Amino acid sequence: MRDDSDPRPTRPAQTYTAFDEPSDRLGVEHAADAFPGSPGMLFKQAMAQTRMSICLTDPHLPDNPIVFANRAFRELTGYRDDELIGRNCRFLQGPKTDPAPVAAMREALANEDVVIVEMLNYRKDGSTFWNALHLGPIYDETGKLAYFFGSQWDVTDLRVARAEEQHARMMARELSHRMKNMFAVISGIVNVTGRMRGVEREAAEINDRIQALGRAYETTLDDAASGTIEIGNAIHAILDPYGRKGAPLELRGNGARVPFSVVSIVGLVLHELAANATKYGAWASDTGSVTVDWNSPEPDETLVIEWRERGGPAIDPDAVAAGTGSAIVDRILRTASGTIERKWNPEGFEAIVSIPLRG
Amino acid sequence: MKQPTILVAEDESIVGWDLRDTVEEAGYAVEGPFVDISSAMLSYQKHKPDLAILDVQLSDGNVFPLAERLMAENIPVIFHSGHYQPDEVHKRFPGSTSLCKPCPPADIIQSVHDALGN
Repeated sequence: MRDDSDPRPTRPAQTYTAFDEPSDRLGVEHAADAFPGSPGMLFKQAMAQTRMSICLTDPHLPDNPIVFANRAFRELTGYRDDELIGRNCRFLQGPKTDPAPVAAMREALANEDVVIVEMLNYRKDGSTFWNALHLGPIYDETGKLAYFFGSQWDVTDLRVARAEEQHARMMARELSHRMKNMFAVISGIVNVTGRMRGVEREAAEINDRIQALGRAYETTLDDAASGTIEIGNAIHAILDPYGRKGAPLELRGNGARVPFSVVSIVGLVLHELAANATKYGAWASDTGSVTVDWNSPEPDETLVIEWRERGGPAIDPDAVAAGTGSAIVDRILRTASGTIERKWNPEGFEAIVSIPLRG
Repeated sequence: MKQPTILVAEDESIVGWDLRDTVEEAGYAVEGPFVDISSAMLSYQKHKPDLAILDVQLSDGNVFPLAERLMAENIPVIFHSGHYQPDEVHKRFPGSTSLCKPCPPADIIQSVHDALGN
């Protein structure tokens, strides 16, 4: 164990002595960097313990070779000290390494700049990893270039995750396009059929429902991978067209996540409530407003949506109840073992919709 | 007053059919629906419409170049798309109208009225 954690290079001899007393050349005895205790000990222990792979190269030796590499560097690359020391870092590159970041690295070395580049590197066993390489000059106390410092971080997993995320976004966009297209075709079929049969009004009513569903489904695509969806996004989308036409609407709930299966129920129920509010309720007058609130249920609990109208005309419950909309709401909720409680208060219509969540 | 003519480009045939009926019912004459840019372009060169309703992605490509030519001649364009968000289209064509698919017929007619200044 002790052997492995000892960062002292075994060769060549001149770099060994240099690193036995790094304070001589690294300038750690400079006032600003003064540590209590031996700087040499600190350096050795810190380098041995850090999980960040670190190497130093000496630009005063031919071909700027590695003069020090810590344990993390050896573990990352698979090389032993005696295989590393004295070689230029380029031996980590291979056939698939992009020349662009390599050129950027060379330029930084030539200009004594600090640079961070990502490049494909090769381990001793030939396997590859994506290296986020951070390099920069180290000066001695006289301001003279002493070393180049390089830290290597294996970002292979990060890059895979980034690529997957990008791919997922592209897929979501394409899926969204196809879904909207599908809903547009369904709407088209309903409209065209309605006209041919002379039932345009019914066709329009069906289409309103289909489109409310389409808006609700659209919001679920971003969450497609997670199984649950944020119902607030769907509620916003379902009611958005009503809000846009200037009908005062306040949406209070947020953050509630529910299983995907309740989206269509919520979509259809809220659409009917909004349609009724437009025909008979708060949105039938210029002064009315609607507030929608919903809770954040635990899994397997019940999603409760409260619909509250204020400032509308006096409502005739019989006229509302007679519409097909209410029958559809009742039927859908019954199928889902849910309930709706309707109250025709003097100050406005209220509905409390409960939908049990099947985990 | 002469009945305004509306050019319709839409590569999904049923959606195009519905659009044509919707616009005709509202009292407009329709050129189309054209399923690709080349046929829409040909029609536009033969007879300049008063307004165009264009799906953004047609079978032979993106409709933006055609939209640019129409707008250069002060022909209002309504984009009707499932592919692009309205704000994306708006960035490129600040003066245009965008409708998200699927769009209720009443909204389409309202947009046509607005664009023609009725």
